[in-house]
Amino acid sequence: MSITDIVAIIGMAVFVPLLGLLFMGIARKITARIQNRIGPPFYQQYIDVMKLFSKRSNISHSWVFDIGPIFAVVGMLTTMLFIPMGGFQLLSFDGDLIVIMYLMVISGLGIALGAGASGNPNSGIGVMRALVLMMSYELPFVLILLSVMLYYNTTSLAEIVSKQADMAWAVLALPLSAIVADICLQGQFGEKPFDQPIAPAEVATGPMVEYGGKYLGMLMLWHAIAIIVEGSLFVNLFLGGGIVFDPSTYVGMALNFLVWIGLVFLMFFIALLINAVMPRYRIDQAFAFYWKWPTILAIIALIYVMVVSSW
Amino acid sequence: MDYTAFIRPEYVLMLLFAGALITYFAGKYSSMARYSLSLLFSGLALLMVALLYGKNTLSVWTPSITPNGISMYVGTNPLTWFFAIILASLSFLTIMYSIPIMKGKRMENWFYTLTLLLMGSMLGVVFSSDLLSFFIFWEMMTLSSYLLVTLAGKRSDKAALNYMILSTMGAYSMLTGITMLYVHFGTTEFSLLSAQIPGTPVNFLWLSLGLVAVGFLVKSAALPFYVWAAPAYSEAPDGFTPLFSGALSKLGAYGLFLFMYVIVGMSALIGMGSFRGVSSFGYAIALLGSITAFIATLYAIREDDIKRLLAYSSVSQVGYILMGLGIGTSLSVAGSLYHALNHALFKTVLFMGAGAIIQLTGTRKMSEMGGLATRMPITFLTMLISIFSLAAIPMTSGFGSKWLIYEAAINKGFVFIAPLAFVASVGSFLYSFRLLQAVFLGQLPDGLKDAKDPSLLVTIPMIALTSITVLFAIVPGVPLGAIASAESYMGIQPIQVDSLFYFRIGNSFGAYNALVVMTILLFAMLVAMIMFAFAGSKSKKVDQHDTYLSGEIYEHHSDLGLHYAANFYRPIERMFEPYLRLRLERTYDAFGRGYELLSEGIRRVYSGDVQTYVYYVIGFLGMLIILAGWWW
Repeated sequence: MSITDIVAIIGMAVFVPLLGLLFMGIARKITARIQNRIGPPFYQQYIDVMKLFSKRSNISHSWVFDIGPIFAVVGMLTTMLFIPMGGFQLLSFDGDLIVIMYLMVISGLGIALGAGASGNPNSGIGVMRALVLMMSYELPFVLILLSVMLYYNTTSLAEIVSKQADMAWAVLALPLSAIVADICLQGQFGEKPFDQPIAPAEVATGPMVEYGGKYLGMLMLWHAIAIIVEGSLFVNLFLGGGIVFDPSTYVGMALNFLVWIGLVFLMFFIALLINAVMPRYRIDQAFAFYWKWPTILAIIALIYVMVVSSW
Repeated sequence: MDYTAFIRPEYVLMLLFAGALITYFAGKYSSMARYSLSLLFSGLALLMVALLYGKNTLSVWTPSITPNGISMYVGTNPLTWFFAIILASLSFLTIMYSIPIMKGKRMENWFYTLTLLLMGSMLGVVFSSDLLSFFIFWEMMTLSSYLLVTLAGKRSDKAALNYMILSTMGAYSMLTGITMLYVHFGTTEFSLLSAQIPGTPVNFLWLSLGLVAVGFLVKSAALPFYVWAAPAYSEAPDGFTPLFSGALSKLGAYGLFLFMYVIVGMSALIGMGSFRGVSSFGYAIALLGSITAFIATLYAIREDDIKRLLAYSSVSQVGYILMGLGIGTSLSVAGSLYHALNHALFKTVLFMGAGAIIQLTGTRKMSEMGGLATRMPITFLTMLISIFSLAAIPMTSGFGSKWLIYEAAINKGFVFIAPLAFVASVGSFLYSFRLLQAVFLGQLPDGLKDAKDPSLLVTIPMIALTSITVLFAIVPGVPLGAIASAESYMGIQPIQVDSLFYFRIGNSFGAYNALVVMTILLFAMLVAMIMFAFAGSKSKKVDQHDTYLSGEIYEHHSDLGLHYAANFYRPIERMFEPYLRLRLERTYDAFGRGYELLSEGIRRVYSGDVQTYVYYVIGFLGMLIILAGWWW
């Protein structure tokens, strides 16, 4: 590993949370405009995080409670470094898609542990919903991953990105897979109609209910990284990782990086638009939904890939 | 004196069987002698097994006991050693753990005798090198484990009987298969058998191998036979369950490895028919394994009984082992053997922790526990890491094995097996979190306020097994080195591990570098903890009841049974229930009732009255006369 790689890794670890916070700020503005409000300024999230980290009163229920936010940030930060981001490979040759899928779980389990330790019934319900939601979207998503992995005959995300640069983007080659993956992305983002885990009106933000002060600040950072990680996973899988220009020149690299940011934001923006106008499913409805239509479509997409690749 | 001459598998078995006898008589007089002798014998056996590493022996165990000269052989090879070391170390640690757990329980003396006997017969199964001794040890193992289950008293009778009936069925099937092999080839020794396999008719192989496999599938609780597992695991004495689930359930997989790859061999197996380069027989096993993994997970999600939940989880994890075993590529067999090791490590810890908690709380219902994490930190942490390993989180050893199995399934393009396995694994987050939430998190009941970690004899085995889980997460190459030699013994291309650094496994298709993942995790942990420690002001500890409840006034009722994890997954249980109602148990029950009815009918015919029999004879003669008249 060279010095530039290490610099890129550390640089991305700092840049991605900031980018995620910016996205969250813009999201609040956009949702407000859709609902005919003015909304907070786009940098509001930076102010919020700083405010939360400088709070005087922080409460803790036990040391297990403290694990939650720490594990959340650790898990997402680690996952992030294994996903290619806008032309930067980072560590993606040392862990393939399956490693990424399981690394993504660490933060969720961490939050679940911490939330469970608080002894608030709302946390328990929220965690249950989050786990059930995960099981819901995971079935179609795995089928889609399988179709992509079989189509490009590799499990490495970096390989998938580079093969898309040679062939067509997967969104054109496998349009049905991309549609299903986007439906699953809505659940991964936790945007409506799949925001049951936090559902502020029902379970008072669920797992987060007992967290305040610097704990909530950590969780906000986790959420910021999670948006970029999940969006970037989709962009890598279906939109060629945002590689449009020749990456051998510095100008090309910079432009590619900007395209990548734009594409990740585009995916987030689509989720936002749906979120702004949709009501919320009950958790069992979400489960039934995911295991029905997206799964059927995913199976069709998988059959398509098997037929195409056997030619 | 040269001790190495005594490091032979037959001496290990002799030591254990003699040890079981000695422990029984010594234990009648003094409990101290019972504990120390059983620890001594199992520890010595473990040491001898460990020293067998890298040896290849084969020796005649009983010269020509039968007139036509069938001899019994024992031997050791890389595959045998891999299983033997798991079985021996788990037996030793479980005996250690049982000392406080089984103290004063019913028939305590028998427990240690039978455990030593079971350890001997399990090692006998893996060390035996011919069909006859294999079957004898197999039956000894079934019998001693059956007796161990019944030790829990009357409530375990039905569960034990279920286990015994299904095992007997499997054993008969296996005996038929073994006899067919012996009659056809005229030998029982494994290497002589495998030398004669090429050129055998395919139909014969399918039939004999299929019959033998039924016995192994019963023992590994695979799909049509899993019904014995949950009741037997949960009703067995707490001291025995870790060994039952951790060690004994692996022997079904060992038997399949032995018959499929050592005796029949890869080329003959492919010759029996293949599907995308995987033998059809293996594919059937893999398919059974994946469906078992999925269905058992759904059952586990619904359980409130801690031991039943772990039992179903056990069934599901053994499904993964079968999956890797069946696919039969270099990656998948490595994954299967590695998963057998991992499952032995984490499930033993989980059952040990469950036993300790059951002893403390006096109930198996998780909805009557809660909040124990801060009261029992060692139990919590060891069980947490084991659950991470069960859920295949990359900072534990459990990830490596599942990664290998997925990679193999995806590489072969098995679009049915791979998603089932993956969804079952997501389901395992659900049930394992239920265990954590119900037992360790949430609110502490008043009755458990002064709960403490169990004694050192319980925690030392748990810590030992957990530290191996963490260690192998960083250096998966160490176990995979032993696995690679087992693979080359079975005639499968051994898995490539970087010989200098035991970290990176993978090929052109995908990669997993354990060291990089661990380093990044630890580094990120450091950053997050520094951020957490220095940001803002220090946090204040508050009581567990001091929570935000949307304005509702909280009154603490520990007697109402308002547990947050009671009916935890109700919303999706409701979705599954109609499907789960089609339980296999009902089929077996219907079969049992039909059999009873048939027997009842036959009993009426054979009334025991001489007069009736005379009528039968006369009737039969009359029928013969009529038939004879009709013919001519």
